Amino acid sequence: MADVVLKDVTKIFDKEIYAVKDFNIEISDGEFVVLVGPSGCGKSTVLRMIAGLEEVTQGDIYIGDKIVNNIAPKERDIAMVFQNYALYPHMNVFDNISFGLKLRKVDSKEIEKRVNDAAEILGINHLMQRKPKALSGGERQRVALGRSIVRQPKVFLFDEPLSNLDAKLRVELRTEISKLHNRLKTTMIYVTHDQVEAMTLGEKIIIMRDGVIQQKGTPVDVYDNPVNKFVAGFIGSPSMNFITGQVEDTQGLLFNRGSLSFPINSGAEDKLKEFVGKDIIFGIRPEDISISGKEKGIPMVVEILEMMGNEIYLHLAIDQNTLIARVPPDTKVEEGQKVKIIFNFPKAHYFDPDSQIRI
Amino acid sequence: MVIFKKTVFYTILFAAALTFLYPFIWMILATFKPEIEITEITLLPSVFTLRSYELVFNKIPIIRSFLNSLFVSVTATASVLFFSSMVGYSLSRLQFRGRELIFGVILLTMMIPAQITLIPMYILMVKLDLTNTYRALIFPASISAFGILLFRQYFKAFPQEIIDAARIDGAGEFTILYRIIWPNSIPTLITVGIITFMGIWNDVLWPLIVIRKENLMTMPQMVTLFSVGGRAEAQLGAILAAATLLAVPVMLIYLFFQKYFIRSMATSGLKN
Ligand SMILES: Nc1ncnc2c1ncn2[C@@H]1O[C@H](COP(=O)(O)OP(=O)(O)OP(=O)(O)O)[C@@H](O)[C@H]1O
Ligand SMILES: [Mg+2]
Repeated sequence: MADVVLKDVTKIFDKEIYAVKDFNIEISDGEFVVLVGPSGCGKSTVLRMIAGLEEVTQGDIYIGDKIVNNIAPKERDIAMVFQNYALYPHMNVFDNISFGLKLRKVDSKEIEKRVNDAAEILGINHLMQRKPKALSGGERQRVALGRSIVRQPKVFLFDEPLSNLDAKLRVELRTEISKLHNRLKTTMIYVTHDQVEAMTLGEKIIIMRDGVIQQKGTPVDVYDNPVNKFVAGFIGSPSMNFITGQVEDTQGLLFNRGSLSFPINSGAEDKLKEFVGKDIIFGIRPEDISISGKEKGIPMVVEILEMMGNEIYLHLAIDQNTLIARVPPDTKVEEGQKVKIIFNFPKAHYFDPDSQIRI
Repeated sequence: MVIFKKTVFYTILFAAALTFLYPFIWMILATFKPEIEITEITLLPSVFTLRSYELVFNKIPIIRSFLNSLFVSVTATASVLFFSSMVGYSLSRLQFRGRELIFGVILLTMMIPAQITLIPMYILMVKLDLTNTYRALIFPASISAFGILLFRQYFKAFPQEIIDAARIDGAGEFTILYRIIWPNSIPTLITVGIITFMGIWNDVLWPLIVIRKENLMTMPQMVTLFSVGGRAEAQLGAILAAATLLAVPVMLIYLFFQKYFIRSMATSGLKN
């Protein structure tokens, strides 16, 4: 059990590749934190630095109240689960799970007990004598989880542990990891590029891009109040719609983008005043677009209709502009139909096109 | 048509195999012939006799030399596997300054013909007072650039995540190499092992230079001296018998490990 703190951590590969830049996070004891970002943004590098597998170029990493920069991985008291399972191919499941304990000279009765407990929790008792080759992906990842549990580490690190599994197993093991956290109450740091995983698992999520933290916060917070266009677009599926247009002042503010023009009436008028005559990016989530039953609304055409069962994704278009809307499954629309749409303005976001920051 | 093609193919293969095998088969059969029959054209002996072998065993301590060879080859091979894999591991998996330079130097040593270093090596052995010892045979052969090269290539393809997992589990570099990587590199170990073993087993020149005492001589050295020296009494049968005895262990080893040998030549990586 321990806090994990990263202070101004920077990692430079080969003297010029900035994989991680001025990274500052404080993870308190027992917290479940998810690092999320697109491929190559430096998530694994952060995790590997915490694990001690990668040296820190600048800054300090604390586990508990100790600086661990120069401490070997095995002395950091962490456990890590990898994307490719990383089981020892020549050992059976029992030996795989107990290897770390044997190296640490834990008493063999104690090893037996801990391995059995872990196997119980993960439902892998019947696999003990098998080699990894004879296991399915899901079983392998369970074994890898078991290997980390029995060590009873201060911190768990997960590097995209579910990416190699099929969708159904992914959901199943995601729940399992959640339960594990509830049971063990140990600090867990979880890396993924899948924003759904991040939203469902994390108590706190940290969104990264190109080695830099974009935003930290609870899932709801980053969803509702994204700090910039990147976060707004990255979190949520389908992603937020963005339209670039000009702000005009004609008896109240108007967003002008040819045929997709509308008055801005959301209480954001004050903030947008200074953008009059300038470009601005309007952002609206698919679920904040609805089909108007009346004459009111912006006219658009339904190009594609995707029936998801519990909801419908509508790909709407007018001239060059396209939007995706998420509407209830009983909405009466067809492909090619002309519809009028209405935005839920209080939930709309506006971004400065230069800095990409939310206004 | 297919059958015809196959027939031609196998006929050619068979002919090729025969040209390689014939002299060998002839040699083995000749050792069981009476001396006067050896130069005749027939393949099979008219009477089966062990005279030639008797002569070999009576004239030279061939068993002792076999044991010497076995001891030297096994020790040196074990040492090559141990040390070369160690170097191969550090050159492929550890980060340190000058790594590529060291590797370059090791490669360079492979390009120097052994004849050039022969005399300096001999002088070194004399200076170290190692002539006429097993150590003179073992030490110079106890690490090999070829082994390092092969291990380095193979270890490069070993999954990094498994090494990372072991490191987090608490394994040091030696544990990682010998308890995690070795058990997953058996074909490579066998390949390096066989090539090294055969190289040392078959070497004649070096033992001739550093060993004079008969009870320390290796088998090829003994057989060579026996064949060219006067002790075979110009008996071709005895010379062939000695040569057969020399070849048999190597062949047995090769046949036994052939499966792995080919497998490691065919695969170069380890998948999860
Ligand atoms: N050993 C290395 N040498 C040089 N560059 C590296 C090294 N490891 C990572 N990088 C670079 O650092 C950046 C971040 O890599 P990292 O593996 O942390 O990304 P990631 O966010 O985990 O991506 P993914 O989702 O694909 O796993 C990448 O641009 C990568 O090319
Ligand atoms: Mg990664």
